[in-house]
Amino acid sequence: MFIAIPKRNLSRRRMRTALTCIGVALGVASFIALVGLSRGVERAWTTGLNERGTHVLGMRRGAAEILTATLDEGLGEKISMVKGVLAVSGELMDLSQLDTGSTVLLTGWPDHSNLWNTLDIGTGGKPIKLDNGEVIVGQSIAAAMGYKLGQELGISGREYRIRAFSKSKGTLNNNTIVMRLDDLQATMGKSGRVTVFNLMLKQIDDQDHVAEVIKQLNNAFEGLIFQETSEVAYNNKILTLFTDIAWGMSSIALLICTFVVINTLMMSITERKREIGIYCALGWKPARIILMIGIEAIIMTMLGGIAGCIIGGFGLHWLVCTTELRSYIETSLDARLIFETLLASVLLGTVASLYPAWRATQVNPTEALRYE
Amino acid sequence: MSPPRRGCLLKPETWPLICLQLLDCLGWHIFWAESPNRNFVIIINLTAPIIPQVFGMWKAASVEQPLGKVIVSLENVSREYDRGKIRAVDNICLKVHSGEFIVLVGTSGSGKTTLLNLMTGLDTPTSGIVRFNGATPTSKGDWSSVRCKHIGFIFQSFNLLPTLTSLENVEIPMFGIGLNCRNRHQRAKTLLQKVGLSHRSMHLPSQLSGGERQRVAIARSLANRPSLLVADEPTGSLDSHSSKQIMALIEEIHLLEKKTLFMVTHDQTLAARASRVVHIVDGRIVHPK
Repeated sequence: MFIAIPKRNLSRRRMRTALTCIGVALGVASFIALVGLSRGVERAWTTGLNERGTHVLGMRRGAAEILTATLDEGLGEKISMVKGVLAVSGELMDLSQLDTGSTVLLTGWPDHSNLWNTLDIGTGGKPIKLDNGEVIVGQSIAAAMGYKLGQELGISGREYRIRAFSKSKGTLNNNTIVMRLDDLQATMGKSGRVTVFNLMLKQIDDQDHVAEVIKQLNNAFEGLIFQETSEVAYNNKILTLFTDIAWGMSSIALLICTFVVINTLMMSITERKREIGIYCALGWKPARIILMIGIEAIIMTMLGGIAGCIIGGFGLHWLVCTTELRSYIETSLDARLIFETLLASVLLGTVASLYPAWRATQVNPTEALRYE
Repeated sequence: MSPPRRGCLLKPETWPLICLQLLDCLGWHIFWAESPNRNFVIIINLTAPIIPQVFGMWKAASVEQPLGKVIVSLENVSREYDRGKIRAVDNICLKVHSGEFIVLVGTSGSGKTTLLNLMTGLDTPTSGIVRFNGATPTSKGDWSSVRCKHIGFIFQSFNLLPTLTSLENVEIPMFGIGLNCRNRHQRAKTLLQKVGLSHRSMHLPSQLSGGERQRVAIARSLANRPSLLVADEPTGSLDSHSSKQIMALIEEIHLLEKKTLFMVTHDQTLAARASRVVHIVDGRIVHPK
């Protein structure tokens, strides 16, 4: 019955409660959408690298954005000499606009790279050897653009022929166009340069060994930084910035929600001053009154949180499906994010109820019982 | 034949009455009295509002009982407002003994309600000490515990919670004593039955008449089996018929359940039925009887 009291208090002013819940829902929805987007980018990167069997990624030290940095292709041979490294493959990446106007991720691999073996192009795992001017197109781009095998494709003013379509689990790889490294270097005017080095290690299950190899690599190549695949997205400065912006904007939205809830509770307490006086007179301790107000706030924020998860989930899905973001973001709304959001809602409710609850305990019962 | 006087359940020869008390707990309204020749008069009341009035008349002529232990004690208590410009209660000393029926009489603005608020911890005295059962509660929490466990309130304007049913209103004070949901519910039902409102248990206060609301408030005041019942003009918002019924019910509870009753009123006819009348004028007690 104790829960029934706050429930009825809220249902007494249905419209006000509903509007507060909607306010919370919109705040939570923006939280879901923004944090979902930033996490989606991180996940897309990590999935993409894992799919290619990359254990460690070598990048230019101090580069704010991976795609804008270039390295000497010749360093790959030296890296492969380090003890514990099984294979090294340079990779050139760039964002480019197709002649159709769409922006896609282009990537170029050396002919002898082990990365070719990771592409699923419907040949039963048999690697494919591209000729000059040929590309493999990710299935998502192909489906979106309606490309056909053998079709000519204009990239940065040069014509390429579609040799195959690749099928991946990761969004990023499904939206990537793969070509020979020489071709991409020539197209981009980056002869002899690569963006990153993909490293495969010998004993990947031994974490101590992996850490030791990374340490050796970082010591041996001063201009480069080597990181495990799982850490790349997390340490990427652009992604971190994006995540920070997402969290910042979400926090502002949630802060606004907090004040909306505080406002509603304060109005409610002013209206129910007499009732609070009755609770005091009947021997309710301040802690119980605080609990009652807290439950009211949590009910509102939980309802808003659940509605916000639904609205945010649909919003995120719509955003990703209808814009070019689909090429770079994993859209799935994971249980962790929903759990965190609902937890944040409860926390928001608790925080929002603190001041109004304190004010409720300060009500003078003798005045309150006279209050009409 | 002289009027009968109030009996005592503790006398060995009154054991059959203990059984009757048990029946009373089951919802039967049973009243009893002892005649001067020590023959018991037992009345089983199936129409609750009538007999208590008869009983009240007997009570009016009853013999004074020895005073019990002191429940509430006010020692030189004053309450000032507006930086001492207004003295609502002025240096009052008062003791409320167990089992007493005290009526506090005074005109409007004489300080009756302020005194009541001070003795129940709803208000804090500017000076003086208020003791309850010998202890001196100081903090809000201490007074909350005292009110929860030992004091039952009956207000003039009922003060029922509008969103809760009669049954739930009666349950409200029980949250403080750790009763589980089932026991709370059961006890609230029994109390509503006791005040003759079991058929109204699921009604909201807005669906009840004034008299019925006050009955619910009386049931609520008994929720935690308090030793002291405090009534602030309990019939002030009722018509004369309902007033009589409510007063009879309050007196019935005072007598049968051995509750100490402290009632604020400006109705002199009600005062005549009390064991002690305290007059308050301009915040001072002028005529303790």
